[in-house]
Amino acid sequence: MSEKLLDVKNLSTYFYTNEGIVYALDDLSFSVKKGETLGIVGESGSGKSVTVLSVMRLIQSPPGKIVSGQIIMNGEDILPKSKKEMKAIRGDKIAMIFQEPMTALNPVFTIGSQIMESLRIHQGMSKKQARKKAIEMLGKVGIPLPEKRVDEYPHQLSGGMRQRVMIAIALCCNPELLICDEPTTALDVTIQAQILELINDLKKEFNTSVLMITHDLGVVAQVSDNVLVMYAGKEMEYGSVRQVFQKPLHPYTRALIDSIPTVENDRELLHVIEGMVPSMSKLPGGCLFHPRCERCMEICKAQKPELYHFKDGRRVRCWLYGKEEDGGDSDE
Amino acid sequence: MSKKSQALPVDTVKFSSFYHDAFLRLRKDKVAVCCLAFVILLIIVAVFAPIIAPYPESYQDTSSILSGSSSEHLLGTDEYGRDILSRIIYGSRVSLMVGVVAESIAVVIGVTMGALAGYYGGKVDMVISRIIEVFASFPQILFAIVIMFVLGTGIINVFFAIGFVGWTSVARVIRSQVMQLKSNEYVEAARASGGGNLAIIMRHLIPNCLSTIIVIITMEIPADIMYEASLSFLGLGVQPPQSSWGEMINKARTYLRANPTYSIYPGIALVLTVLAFNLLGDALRDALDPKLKNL
Amino acid sequence: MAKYILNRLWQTVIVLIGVTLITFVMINIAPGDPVAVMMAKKADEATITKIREQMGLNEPLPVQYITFLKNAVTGDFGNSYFQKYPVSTLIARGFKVTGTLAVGVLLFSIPFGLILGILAAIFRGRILDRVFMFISTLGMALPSFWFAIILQLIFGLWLKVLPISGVNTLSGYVLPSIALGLIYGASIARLTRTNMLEVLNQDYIRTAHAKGVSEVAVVLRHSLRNAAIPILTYLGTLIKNILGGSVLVETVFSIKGLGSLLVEGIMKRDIPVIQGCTIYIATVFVIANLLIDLLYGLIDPRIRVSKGGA
Repeated sequence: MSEKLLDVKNLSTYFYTNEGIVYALDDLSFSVKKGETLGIVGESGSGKSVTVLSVMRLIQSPPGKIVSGQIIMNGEDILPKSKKEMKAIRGDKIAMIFQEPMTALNPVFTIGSQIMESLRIHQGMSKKQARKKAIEMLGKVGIPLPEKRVDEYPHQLSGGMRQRVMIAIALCCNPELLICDEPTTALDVTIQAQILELINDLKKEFNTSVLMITHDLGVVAQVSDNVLVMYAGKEMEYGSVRQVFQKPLHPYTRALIDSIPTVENDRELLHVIEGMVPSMSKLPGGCLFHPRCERCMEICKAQKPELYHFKDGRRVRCWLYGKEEDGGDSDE
Repeated sequence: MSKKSQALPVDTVKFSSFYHDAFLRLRKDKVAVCCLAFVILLIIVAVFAPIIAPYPESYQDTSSILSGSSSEHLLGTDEYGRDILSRIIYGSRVSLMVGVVAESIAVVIGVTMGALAGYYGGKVDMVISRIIEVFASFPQILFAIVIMFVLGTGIINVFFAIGFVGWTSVARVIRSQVMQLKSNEYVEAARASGGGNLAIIMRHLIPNCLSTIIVIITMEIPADIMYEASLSFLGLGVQPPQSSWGEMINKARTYLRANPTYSIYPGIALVLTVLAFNLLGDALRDALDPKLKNL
Repeated sequence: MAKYILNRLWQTVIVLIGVTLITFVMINIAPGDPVAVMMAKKADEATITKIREQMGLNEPLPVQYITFLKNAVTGDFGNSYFQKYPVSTLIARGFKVTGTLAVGVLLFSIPFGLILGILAAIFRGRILDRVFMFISTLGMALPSFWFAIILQLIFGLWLKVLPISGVNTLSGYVLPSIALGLIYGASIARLTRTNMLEVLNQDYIRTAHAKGVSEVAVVLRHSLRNAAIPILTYLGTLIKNILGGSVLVETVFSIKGLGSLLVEGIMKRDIPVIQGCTIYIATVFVIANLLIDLLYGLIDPRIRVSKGGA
């Protein structure tokens, strides 16, 4: 069992807006081991992006605020760290790539200089050294003729190329954790596969753990070791990819998997999850998912289920589970 | 209200609710309400000047020349013994008239040129755009001065000069609005049902520019008032004994040491008026169409 | 890029021709016979006709226009009717003064506006933002000539630290520069704030933060270069406004610049001066705009380097 690289405990992030308090994250706990890829899955509005922005402490405050919890990185809680200390961590120990490669790069700087910037800030390289390393990184992410392209501007590259550049920037300082926030959502399907493969390969080469945020279960299946299912700011289910896909426990997870259109059987109606993700400022009482749940029971409407830990490491937050026979403990 | 909606083409039937919403939004903005109150106050003062002003415009109280504030003359007197407060009140008439007359001229010319350029495009657009560029290549104030040279001095000529110089800003905005609007479906529909070009421009496109026009007017009026003050300051505008804030400031210069407040008060009136219109214009623009933030 | 330059050059020429045309037309439809004015109505019919002949004023209008154009291009606007110098000399003198004033205004307004705008954007919504934007709104509502007088009162008469008339020493430029500079600085502040806010909201700024770039560097390096581009285009209008606004300030401070030259010329109906000044001012503005557009093309890599790489 490799040690935990990132251990998030009871993380709560709220947004204080004119219309009320938005409980974007409520008491979330998860961990990422060294060398592991954890996928965080959920629909839009589930809080998955807020999770990683909280880990990076990039939450805009006001109106957001990390209200409570611990973010333990390599045994050290980074939540109380000063801005200066966080700056040293970002880009160096924890790096992040975002969803929109078209707008994530500064249009007035060359792609080379944008890679070099990270290197010079965190590793104190000289211009010459940084440029050499930048060209090397461009090669590693699969950009042809890197010596030439290092002086080009973002608008001269395609979307897929730009995402590769983003990966180069993220990995150039050899971070321990790479966070990917929907990195392939804005790309074509074929490019998508290439980028995911690239992340997988580089992960091994750089010995980096990966936190992959996505709404796409296909992406999860392709790259993750474990998966965390989120809904309305809370964890719904956790397990290894194999476990969760073969035998999804939570009705939400099951519905997500069922919604994936398949080409196998005869044409059936597309499976759809009824209802909509609740507005974060007006959450339903009882289990957050109960208005849309196929297996909703009376208790679901009234009481919030707690997170139930199975002996094999799986977790689920649902009133369907939690009895002694399942052989596990309740938590919280 | 409903009769109005009947007379207008189908696409503008949402008139009343759109402006109603805008009005509600405007009401919430406290600053805007203050400014609107100020403008209304100004209009009242200008219209009822003879009643409100303590002294007639050219009344010379020879017993107090260039005096500071006193119980008889709240803001003091000028070099002829005329009450400064009264002259400021009468001066508001000139400023408001500039706003109305000069801006009307500018709007008429500007909307016409802008709509034609935007609708017909091609050569028409090229010619009109070049004309706009030529007009805009000269500092407006200097241009107005040169026009005064051609027309001669006097307040009526000032109105024409300012209107003639200010139409370009209106035209530019209307042109881009019309260009955007003309690709809308109702234009196609109107053409299909046999509407002639002119009819389309007049009945469909221009009414839909109305909110833009309102915003432009409110933003241009303070500029026009400034131009008039500047022209009068240079001696090209109102001729004595008529009073205008700019003209007063000009005269006050000579007597700066004797009565410094003589130059200060008319300026304050000018600043407050321009400020009120500017803020009102901003608020109107936000209320009517936040997309126009680039104006 | 080359196409862009050619286009702009071509536009410039057309606009300049238009300007000369309008000037020529306006001079000729203005009431009053220039020669009669020049001779102060002291001569008789015959002499006036002879002088008109000499000055080429009896030629048909289109011919006059061509002559006028030819002369304009070489900078020859003839001699002033009232001052004993060629117009070009007067313009040169005036330009020196107004030009220095313009530099002074830019030196004051640009840093003032940028700093106010950037700080307002960074501290958006907080007190500093509100205060700065209030200053900006107020500044934009100030009449330049009145503000100039106020400055004269405060710094010239009460505090007695700065000269209030004439530009015999460089310090004579200080108050006029501030008078105009504050007002234009106010609009720059507003524009800067709007652009900075837009830029600060962009994804690439979030990327910069995620890379661990310091706040200062994010603002100064990453944001400003992007926000500055639209501000640069405003520079052209700014120069035009300075040329215009300088008339009023020059009057208040009794400075003999281009603006005063033009206004005086108009008052006295000194036609060569009016023509010369008008053409000159318009040309300055048009060329300034051209240079700025070219500069813009150089700064924004999206225009400078096209997709193929060139």
